[in-house]
Amino acid sequence: MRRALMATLAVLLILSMLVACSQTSTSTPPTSEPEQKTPVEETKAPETSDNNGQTGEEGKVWKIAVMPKLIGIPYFNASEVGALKAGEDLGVDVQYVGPTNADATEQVKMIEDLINQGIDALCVAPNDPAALSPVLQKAKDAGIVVLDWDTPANPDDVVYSINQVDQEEFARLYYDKAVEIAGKDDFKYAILTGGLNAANLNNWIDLGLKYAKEKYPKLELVTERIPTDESQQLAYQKTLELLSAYPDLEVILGYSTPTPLGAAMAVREKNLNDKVVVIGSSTPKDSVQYLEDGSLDAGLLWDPSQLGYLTVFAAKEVLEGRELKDGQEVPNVGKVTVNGKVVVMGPPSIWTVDNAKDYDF
Amino acid sequence: METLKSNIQNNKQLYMLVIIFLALFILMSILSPSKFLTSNNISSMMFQMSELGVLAIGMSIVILTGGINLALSHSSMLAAIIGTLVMQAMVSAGMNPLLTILAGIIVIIAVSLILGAINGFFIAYVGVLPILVTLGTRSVFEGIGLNITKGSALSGYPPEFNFIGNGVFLGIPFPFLIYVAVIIVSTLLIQRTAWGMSVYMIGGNVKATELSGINTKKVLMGVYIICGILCGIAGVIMASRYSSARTDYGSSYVMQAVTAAVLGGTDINGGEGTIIGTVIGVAILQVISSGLNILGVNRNFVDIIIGAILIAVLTIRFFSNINER
Amino acid sequence: MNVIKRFYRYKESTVATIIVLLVIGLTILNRTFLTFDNWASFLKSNSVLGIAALGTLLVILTGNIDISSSGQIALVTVVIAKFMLAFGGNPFIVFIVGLATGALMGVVNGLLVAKLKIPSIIATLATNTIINGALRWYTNGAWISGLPDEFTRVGDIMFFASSEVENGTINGVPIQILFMVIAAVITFFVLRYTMFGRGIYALGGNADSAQRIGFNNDRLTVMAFTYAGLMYGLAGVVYTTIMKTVDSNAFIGFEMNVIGAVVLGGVSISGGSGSVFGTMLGMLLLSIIKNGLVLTRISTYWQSIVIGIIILFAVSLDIINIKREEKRTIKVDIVKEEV
Repeated sequence: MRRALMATLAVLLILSMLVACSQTSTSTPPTSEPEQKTPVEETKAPETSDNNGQTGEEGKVWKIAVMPKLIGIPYFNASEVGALKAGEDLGVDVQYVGPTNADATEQVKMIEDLINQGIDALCVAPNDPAALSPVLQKAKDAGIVVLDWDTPANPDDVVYSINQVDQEEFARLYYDKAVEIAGKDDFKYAILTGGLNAANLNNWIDLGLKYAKEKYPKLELVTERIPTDESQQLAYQKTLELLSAYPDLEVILGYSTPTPLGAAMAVREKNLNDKVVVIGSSTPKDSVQYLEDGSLDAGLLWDPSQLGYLTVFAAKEVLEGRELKDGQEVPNVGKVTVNGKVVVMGPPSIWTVDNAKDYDF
Repeated sequence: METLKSNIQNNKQLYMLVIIFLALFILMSILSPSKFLTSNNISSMMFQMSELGVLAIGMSIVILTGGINLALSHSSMLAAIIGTLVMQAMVSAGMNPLLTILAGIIVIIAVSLILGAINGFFIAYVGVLPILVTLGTRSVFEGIGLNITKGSALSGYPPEFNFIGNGVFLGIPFPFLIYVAVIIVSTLLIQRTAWGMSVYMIGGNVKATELSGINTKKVLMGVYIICGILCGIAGVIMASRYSSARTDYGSSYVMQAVTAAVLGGTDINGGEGTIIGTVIGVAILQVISSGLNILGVNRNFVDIIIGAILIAVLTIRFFSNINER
Repeated sequence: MNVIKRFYRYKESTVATIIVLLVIGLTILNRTFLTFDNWASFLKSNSVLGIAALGTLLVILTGNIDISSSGQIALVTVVIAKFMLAFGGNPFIVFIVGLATGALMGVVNGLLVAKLKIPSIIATLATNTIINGALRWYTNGAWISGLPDEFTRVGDIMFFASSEVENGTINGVPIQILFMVIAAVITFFVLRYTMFGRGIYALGGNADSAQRIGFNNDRLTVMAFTYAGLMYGLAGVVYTTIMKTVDSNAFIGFEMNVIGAVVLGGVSISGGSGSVFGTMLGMLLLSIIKNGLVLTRISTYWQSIVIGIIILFAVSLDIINIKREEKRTIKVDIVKEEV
């Protein structure tokens, strides 16, 4: 008797919990400002009530899944805004889903679940191109249009590869900008990176090192790239250590968005704003205070929300059987370059004290 | 008498778990019948739970002795990385693909067996607590992997290697078949042999076990070696499924494996629990994760729910235990 | 009693010896290591680790473990940041809010463990998952900045600063280090001179006999988790004074560093033995290793290997020492009896 009671209790408890949460999740889409996105919410509603993606009288609404490397960091939040805006503007149902940490295995599982959910297009920022290859082939076999964005997947797995910038151009910009700001090409420098495992960061660093070897042979890298676990505090700590270990250090290059800010904090604390040049990829809103006092000298990035927008736009074009053309004008984004499968959004933006305030991400 | 009593209790726990599993399964099926209850989804859930399942069984066996293995996923991946190096070399030497795969599998399992033995040495013979040893070895294994790969993924297997993690045999995902084999063998080993009995006894009371004439050091060493072998099997599945090996694959599996084992009725202090309980625990986690993904629920919310379910199940277990008395 | 005292001294001397050797080695390799400036700066940034370790210490002493330190600290930072944006940054009130938030979470953990008898590793694993999930869901990972000057100014205070300010070098003791020292001293007194402290050692040593002596074990457990929560609250506030922005993702995985610091300091993970002094040494050891690796220019790819080996080495040495000590005491006992 008691056993049955306990079991029923357990089931009831869990049922109510799940029902409660599935309700909450319908009423609150996974974004920070739900009130802005009422139209998306409407197009989303039928999906949870299991209508097979068919809405209204206009017939098929394309279901496009956009998957970042992870959710819950400012950079990918900004691209979410763009992707959802594109969904609104273009009349497609955009779902922005990703794992909570940058783990390729989690992405694979989520993609498998997305395939079963029934989507028309998948745009993925792979944590690892090789790991995702089998599941992307599976998606293709299921008739899903696959694109990559932010970080390239294996070219064979995708129809288009949406690049924020030309990878090589971006890698070079770090060095060109550093030489320009430092005013010489024989300085000692260090590299801070988000993590030793991050494929795209490693790619930029490696391309940059190769470029520096040819173009600026007198530069001296004081130690190997230093990982900061995507944490501003660790970047700050490591920079303090670097500054003590190498008192003649003149330039710090920071890869991944929290890194240059942590480095700038350390430089500011040591009153070295005028002596040490810090350059890195950072989001403008968070950079403003460091740019203002000169501890951060330049932030290099692109507008992630535009990247999200372009990604959804490209997916819709492919779904409707159109090709992207070189020099095509994309609304809200601008002219893009297309070279085979590779779509490049445009040149990177450089944040300085003058323009950083104008952005909201 | 004692064992009989705990057997009945175990069975009750199992009933409860099965009911929870079925309830969740039915709930998900009602919430999205056309997507959750499809052969495609069930097949992909089988694919997904296999690697975690194998690791969770390894973790359970360790927990049965009152230990824990924080180096679980890093052992798998370090072994897989070394195995990948071997396969790469053999592929470039133009050797027979089947021979290459066989050699790769043997190397992966052998390496992870050695890694398990390293854990076992510190735990059984030096006498350091498992949580401390594996905290240290985790860091070492990760570092060695990083040194080899420099942070990138290693790949380049013979195309046939793909089958192990992605193939379907008689309509059933191949990794799931491996998982089933692991379930059967480990259940027999742990619950039907004298050696398995001594594993439970160590978890209950090491000193008493030692006094009863069992060489506890040897048993503990064996437990960590078996856990190592299971890590190796999971490593083979993962390397094949992701057609590459990298230090950080599956790093979220360690805590998930603990969760599955405890959800499945394994006592974290050792001495109590069953393999089949862990298997159901893994299945529950899988249904929640896949079901909520299909519903399009934010991943952060999935984490919250899994945490809440863990507390809920343990609370219910506590009250039902009080009622028994 | 005497034996136990010797025991403690021995445990801490292991880690102390390693520290001394490392300091000598690192100073030879790089002179800047043993400068006041370097120590002040790395102790400042590791004060968060030190304070959190003091909290986890109490939980481990009771024979439990707490892997929710990272979630609790992150929660505190977000709560105080939001509080400051809404109600202003009076440092005193912010401290109270931070400590109260931490303590509240500690009570929850304590009740789960003491009243529902959920094993601490599982209870705190679950609360940590829930807190982190909820935080990220709520903040969406966005950083919270623009905290009031009134509060952020506190982080730049230095004590015993000399009048001449050299360019960029720290010439006083940063307030964060002072916070850590105060927290350590208070914890020391609590453990040594209060009924609560003695109860914690008794509970960790042997729960049944603690009960028999008349301690209320459940209440002790709840109090230990609450004290830990208070410390995480302090750690969260101190972190915010250093960073001046709040990133709810900043602490993922931090709990392992905290536990690492505690156990490196010779605290027995099964409870009952360990000290504040040892915990501080453990924190120091971890910080020195991490600081030293950059200073000695060891390749970054080797860092986790070095850290792992030092952990293995330290804990093994500890055990070997204990075993030797045990053998010796057994011999002594036998000799005494024979006499």
